[in-house]
Amino acid sequence: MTALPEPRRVEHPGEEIEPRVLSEVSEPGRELRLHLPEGTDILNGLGAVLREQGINTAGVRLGGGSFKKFSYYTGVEDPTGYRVATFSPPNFPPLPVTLAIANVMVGMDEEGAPRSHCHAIFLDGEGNKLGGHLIPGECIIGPGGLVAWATAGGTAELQAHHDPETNFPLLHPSKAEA
Amino acid sequence: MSDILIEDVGIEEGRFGRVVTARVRPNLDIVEAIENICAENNIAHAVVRGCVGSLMDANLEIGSAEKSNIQTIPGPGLEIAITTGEVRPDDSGKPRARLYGLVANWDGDGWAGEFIRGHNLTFVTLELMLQEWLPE
Repeated sequence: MTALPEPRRVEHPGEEIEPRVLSEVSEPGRELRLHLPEGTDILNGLGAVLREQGINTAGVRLGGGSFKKFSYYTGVEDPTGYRVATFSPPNFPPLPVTLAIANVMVGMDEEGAPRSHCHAIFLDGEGNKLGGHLIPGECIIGPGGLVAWATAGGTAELQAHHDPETNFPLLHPSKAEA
Repeated sequence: MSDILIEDVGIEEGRFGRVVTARVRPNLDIVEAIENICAENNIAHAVVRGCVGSLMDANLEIGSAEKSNIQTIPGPGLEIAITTGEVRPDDSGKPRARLYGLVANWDGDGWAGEFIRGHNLTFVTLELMLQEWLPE
């Protein structure tokens, strides 16, 4: 294999925060297979059904299925310099969109409501292969529904809070309150 | 031709154990970070249950063991997910991760492949759920 150059590092606006890795260990949580029906918003739907099941935090695998409404973000430069990057305006690919594969991390926003973070590869209605960050509230499942497999975090939770190193509201793990 | 070499199939039976929920901060290699999380928690075998994040630049290995290519995807700020990943001990017993997933750039172009150790540094964050695998 050809030698690769030294990887480039990013410089964020804030000071580096230790520790560089945050982790929370739990005994096994629940495992769920979810069939989400046509008309469901994929990300808000996942958050709502898991919350209804008493699950605040989960890792979710999904692939296949189609969308009859779909919008995604990519990254763009942040012209204000507040962050190293920000989100693009929403992109609207030709419909229907077919999901190739995706992962979702489900946690909580700063107020404790469900928050789902999803990156995916998908095909637009003209067969173009695309990738990006799916927008909650903007991706509606098409005919036949969509299957997702969820692993709950057990006694570990992910909740968003402001990260002064990057200036993003990011999901951080912690022990769930008993 | 469809010979199925049953005797060559590697089968391992086991069950799932502890779950680790984690965040990796910027400028860490994702392969090494996952190995270190396992080592610190005394986890020898694990699978990725969910993982979403971003990379400064991405370097993927694509192709077969005999003929592989490196796909370099220039960033910054590539969106990624680790869609398949496992950790297993090497000959010395240290956790070694092999991670496969997707990458998307700012134009919405998409790629997939294996993340090459030491050459995929986190950009903003990596959110991760690992689960211990306990072979029997």
